[in-house]
Amino acid sequence: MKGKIRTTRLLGLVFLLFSVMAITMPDIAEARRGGSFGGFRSFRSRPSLVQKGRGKSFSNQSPKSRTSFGGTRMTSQQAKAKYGTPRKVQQTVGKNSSGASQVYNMHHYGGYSSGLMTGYMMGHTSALWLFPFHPAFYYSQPHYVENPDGTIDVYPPTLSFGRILIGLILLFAIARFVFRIIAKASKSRQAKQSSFL
Amino acid sequence: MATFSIESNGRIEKTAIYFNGEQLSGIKEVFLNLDEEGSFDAILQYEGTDKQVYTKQIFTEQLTAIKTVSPSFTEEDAIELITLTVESDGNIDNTIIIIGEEVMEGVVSIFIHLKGAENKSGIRKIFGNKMQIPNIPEFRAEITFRNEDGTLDMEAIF
Repeated sequence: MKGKIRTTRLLGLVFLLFSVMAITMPDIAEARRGGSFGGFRSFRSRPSLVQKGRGKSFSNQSPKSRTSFGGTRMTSQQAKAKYGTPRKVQQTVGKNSSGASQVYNMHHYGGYSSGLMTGYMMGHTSALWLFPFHPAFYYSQPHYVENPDGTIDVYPPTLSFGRILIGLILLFAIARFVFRIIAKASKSRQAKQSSFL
Repeated sequence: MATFSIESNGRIEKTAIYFNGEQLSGIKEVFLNLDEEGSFDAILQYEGTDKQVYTKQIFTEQLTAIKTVSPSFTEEDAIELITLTVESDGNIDNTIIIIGEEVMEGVVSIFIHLKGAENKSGIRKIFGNKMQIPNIPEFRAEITFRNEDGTLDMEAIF
């Protein structure tokens, strides 16, 4: 009986984890792919980012650029209006697969989202970011704005209300699952006193 | 003479069945329909130790492979419970009804139907579909007395 309950709990947990991953994996996978939509051919090459001044390659992963395709293209003016004046603009040079350099202007505003942006730019994403118990889950990808001179402005991720909603739903589902297990356990404890099955 | 007892507070989850002083387990259904006209239906359906389901006449048949357990209710629990005992050899003329400690007289009929809901097991237990028509437990226990003026009174036992 105890074994059955344990198996049931385990199955439930696995189910929840898979649900979370199913919801969020495409987003992260997309980020790792380099931002092409739907798995079709991408026109953006894959630069490897190099931190300015060191010449050391951090990653060969390309940040996602939403300016190339997609419905929410943000212009430089719009980004400036939305984000305001940055505390610091860090210029990072990346190399794409054809060997051409790509300049990224990382706009730092401080706080957690700046750290996240740096993580994305360096390709240091973590599987933990897929789970609602990690704060990164609730943030979008960094926003990329292509400038006329060919450089790309990178703006920090913003809080995603859709993700917050998903987080709340999952939290509610987990709480409901736990309460249900407790209720069933207490009911079965009571039922053990009865002669009936 | 066999002794069959039901100790309950009126809810199936808090109901213990005893046969000759031993608490039974694995009970699916109890049906007692006794009346002074001679009706004597005392049927017990249970899941035996061999997982087979048996349907037996309580007072006239051997309760094959019946599961017994040690008493589950403490004396404190028992304060809140009512015990109905039927002592019989299967003949209505040799049948005594005892509620609590009192031997009942002037009984016209007794009707008891207790049926546990089938429990789900495994993952179905947690992710049970409430849209399905539930197997509702049945708990009916009524006794009819004849008063001195000849009128009949039907009372719930538990």
